[in-house]
Amino acid sequence: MSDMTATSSNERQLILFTLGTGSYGIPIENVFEIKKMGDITMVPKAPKYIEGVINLRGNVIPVIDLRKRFGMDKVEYTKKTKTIIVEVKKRQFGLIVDSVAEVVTLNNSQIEPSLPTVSGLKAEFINGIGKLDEKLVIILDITSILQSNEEILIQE
Amino acid sequence: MVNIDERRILEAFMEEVRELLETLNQKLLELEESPHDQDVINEIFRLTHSVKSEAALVGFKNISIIAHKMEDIFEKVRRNVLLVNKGIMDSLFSAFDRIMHLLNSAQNGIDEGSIDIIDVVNPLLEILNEKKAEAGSFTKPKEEKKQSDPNVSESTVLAFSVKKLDSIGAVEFTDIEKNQIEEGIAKGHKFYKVDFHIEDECDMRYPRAYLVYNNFENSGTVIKSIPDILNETNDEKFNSVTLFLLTSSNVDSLKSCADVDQVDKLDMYEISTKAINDKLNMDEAQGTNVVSEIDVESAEEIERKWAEEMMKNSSPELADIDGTNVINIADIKKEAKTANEKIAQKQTIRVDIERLDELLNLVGELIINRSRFIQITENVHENVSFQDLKTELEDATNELERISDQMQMKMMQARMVPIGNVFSKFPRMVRDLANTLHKNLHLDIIGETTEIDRTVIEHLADPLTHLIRNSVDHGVESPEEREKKGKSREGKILLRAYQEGSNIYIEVSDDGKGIDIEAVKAKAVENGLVTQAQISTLPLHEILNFIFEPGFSTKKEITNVSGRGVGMDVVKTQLEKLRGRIDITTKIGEGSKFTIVLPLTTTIVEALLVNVDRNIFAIPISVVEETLKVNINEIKDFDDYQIYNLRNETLAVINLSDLVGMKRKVNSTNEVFIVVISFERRRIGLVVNDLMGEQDIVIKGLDDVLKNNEGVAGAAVLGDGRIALILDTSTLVKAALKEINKLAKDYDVYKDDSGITLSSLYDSLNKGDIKTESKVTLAQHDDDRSKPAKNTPKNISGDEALKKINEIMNDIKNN
Amino acid sequence: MGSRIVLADDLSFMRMVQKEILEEKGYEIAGEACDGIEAVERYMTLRPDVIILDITMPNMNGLDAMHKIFDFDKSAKIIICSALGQQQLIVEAIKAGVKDFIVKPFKPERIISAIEKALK
Repeated sequence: MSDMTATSSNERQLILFTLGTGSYGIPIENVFEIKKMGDITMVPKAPKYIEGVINLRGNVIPVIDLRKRFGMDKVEYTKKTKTIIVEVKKRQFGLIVDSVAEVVTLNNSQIEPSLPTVSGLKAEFINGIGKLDEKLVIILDITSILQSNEEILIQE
Repeated sequence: MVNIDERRILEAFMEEVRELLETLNQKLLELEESPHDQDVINEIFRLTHSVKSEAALVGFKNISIIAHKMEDIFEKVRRNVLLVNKGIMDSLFSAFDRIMHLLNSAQNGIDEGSIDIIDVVNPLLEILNEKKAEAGSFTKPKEEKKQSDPNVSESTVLAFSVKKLDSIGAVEFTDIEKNQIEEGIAKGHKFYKVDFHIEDECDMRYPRAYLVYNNFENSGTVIKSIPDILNETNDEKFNSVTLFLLTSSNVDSLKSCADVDQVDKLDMYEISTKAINDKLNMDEAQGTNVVSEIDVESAEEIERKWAEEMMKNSSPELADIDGTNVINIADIKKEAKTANEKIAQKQTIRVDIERLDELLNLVGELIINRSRFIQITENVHENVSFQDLKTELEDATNELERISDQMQMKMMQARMVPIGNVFSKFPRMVRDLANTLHKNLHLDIIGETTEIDRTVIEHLADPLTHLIRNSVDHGVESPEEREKKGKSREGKILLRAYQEGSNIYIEVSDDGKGIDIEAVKAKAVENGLVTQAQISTLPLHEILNFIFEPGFSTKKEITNVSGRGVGMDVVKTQLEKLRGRIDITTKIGEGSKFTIVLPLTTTIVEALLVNVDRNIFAIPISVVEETLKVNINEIKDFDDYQIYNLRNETLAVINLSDLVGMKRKVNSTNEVFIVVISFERRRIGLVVNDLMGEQDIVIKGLDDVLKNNEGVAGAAVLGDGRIALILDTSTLVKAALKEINKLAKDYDVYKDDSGITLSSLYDSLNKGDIKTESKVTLAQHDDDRSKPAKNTPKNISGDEALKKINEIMNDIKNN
Repeated sequence: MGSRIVLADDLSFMRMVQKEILEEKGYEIAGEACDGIEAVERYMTLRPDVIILDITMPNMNGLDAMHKIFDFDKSAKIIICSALGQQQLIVEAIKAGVKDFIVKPFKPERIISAIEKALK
């Protein structure tokens, strides 16, 4: 359980984004900024899910295609495709997602502990499942996703 | 109370005292070389003195004690009362080492006062002919008196009184003094008895008493002082002083004579004419030895006071530094300790103030330049003519270029530190090693002022240590052996640094026995690095390079100095990390020379930018030999790698896109570029789509997820915001060459239609600096080929060989 | 208060300690010198109210610097900073006319007291 910081003890603010049909959330405190897709410099021999590196105000940071990371089909980038810049343990990464929806505040009562069967993800990569107007939001544990080398598969 | 930033002070202390100690170490070594050099002796005296004072100031008692005793020794050496010899030097070095140890301990939050120092202090005391200290005498905490009373005013307050005195008391005046008094009275001067008292907590009472005496002397004439200030210098006697003063000064100005620090009481007695006359006459009448009853009493009184005060203040030998007089910030140490904090060794650098000023000037220019650009932008909106805009823009851009170039240069200079910082530890190391190994050695250092990047210098100490150890242990022979060979008994090691172009060269050379090539060959074969047959074809430098293979040592017995051949491989990898390399030259019986070549700086490199497809790669200019624009048809295809005929020499070329594992793009034109890169005397051509020119780039590290990526050394952000990946050419190409080499050696049979053979390819890859060497190699190959190859494990067809090569190349790529 | 002081000591650490103490008390450190030559030069150019001279300094020692300063300004207010064991040197300085002396290692109040009294 990391990065469980919240605005108040029983509330959490999330950035919601989509990958395919799924809706996901990242705690807002991990998010540095959201960028439109720009030039990505390919890095030879990098891990498959690393799309390349980008120039973020003079710093060179790696960009991860979350679709690739989760073993989902590749799709063409559209205008809606965004790069979420996250900061985890002083390291910055870009995460490519299909689209960014909104920022929501969830009450802890709206959050269930992770249910692998629902999310299609291993428990260690999830911080919980949020319920929002009958829609399920999978809250990602971004730290463990970034630190893990194992292949992560998600069922759409 | 005075509040000062204690942590900051302690940090500053650490930094400065380390510098002092480094110089001290150096000077001690110099002293050993020339024990009579007065300059060196004075310098050492000054340094020990400084270390002592600083350590005492922050409450590092034990460091201070050792430094104090070292200082005492040099005080004697300075006066030629003591002559240094080897025994003394050894004791001094042990003492020095202990100071370093204490300092390091303190830095790690350990109370240095709790570490025993008796074993290093006693030899010093012995040298000084002083009484030996007993075990534990330096480790007992002395807490008393550390905290001064917060209610006490910081400045000494002088209690002052003036009284009349009708009897002088039991003081004897000589005839001369009496005459002085008479003359003074005749001139209308007043005669005073002046008693002043010095604070109990005062160091060096004698000079303090002297100060007051001197002040009174300047305001009149001191007829007599008790104790005798002009002849008695023992501090302990000067708690209370009595002066007899003739003066015409007023009372206020007399008071100010004693109003100095740590004098807390002044009683002035104006002696009546009657008393003066009584005294002068009485002595005249009764002789100088007669003392009246009353006077005896007051004389006894004075004596008793002295005795009392002496008792109070009598202190053991080392009282002056045992903590009683230590400044309050001594408590810093305790605080740091209780918090169990380590004083982090911050990465600081001392920059010449002039350099900073120059940088500041440039920043000023940059700001002016900025306003020019702002002006241009405004002009664009105001429809200024294109020609004018163009001129103005070009000017401003040129200016910006000049300023930024200079800033870069100055900034790099600011990061530079003299290489002497690393060199300084070696004289001591060589000395100790030579002692251990019973060798007679002299280390010469040349070029210690050569400046080198701060980040480089930090990583240089280990490789150099290995090399020098190696020279001492394996290189230089024992004195007996040397004598037999007709060499001087004393071996020489030279450590030399110099700058040439954008490289720094550091040489470690010795006049020892040289490297036994045959032994290296035998060992290489034994370790399975090459076969017996292969080794005869290898050029000399190639053979010597085996020394840098892990686990390679030709020395039969293992010593605890150089170890088991661990190290030389580490040396090489360390230097490669710094983008440097190492060369060896050696001659049997005459010695060896290791030359380290390093780039001046590691953060900014001059690079050639090349295009491969849409990607930009940066190749450090230092490895680029030349660039060629060629027609693609001139490159003979060997599938994954190719061959180009460069001025009648075969050059192996590899598509950069293949090398980095990208898909090779079909070129729209027939024109490609070959970047010929060389390192370790090998050459290889990289095929790229286009050249983008040279540029200085700032190396940025890549995130850890990309760290395992061999072949990419980092990234750089270009002026237009695009990213160029910096190629780690040595790793990439070496991996390729290694495999090609192996194949070429194992399957030395292939010949294709173009007449190019694998052996000539192999040869081209190993093209040495020395042309003749390559030719010899080639000739041998030709000879071998005419006969059945002796060492080919099995006969293999050329196609198979090529297939094998391709497989391996693919492996390299996909790794 | 606000008197201007020049500190001369080859050890920047010592100067730092002195500076901390004096600035805390509202004195202005007009300048610093790290050897005797610099000390003389600083005195001449900055004309401080007091200069604190360390005895042991490279290039030109504190006593020589003191003499040079007195040659330049007979009424210069000089405080000598010494270590234990330098009695004779202090006496020499006193004879030459220094206002006071401080013994290392010193407590903050020593330096303040010496300065206050020298400025009287």
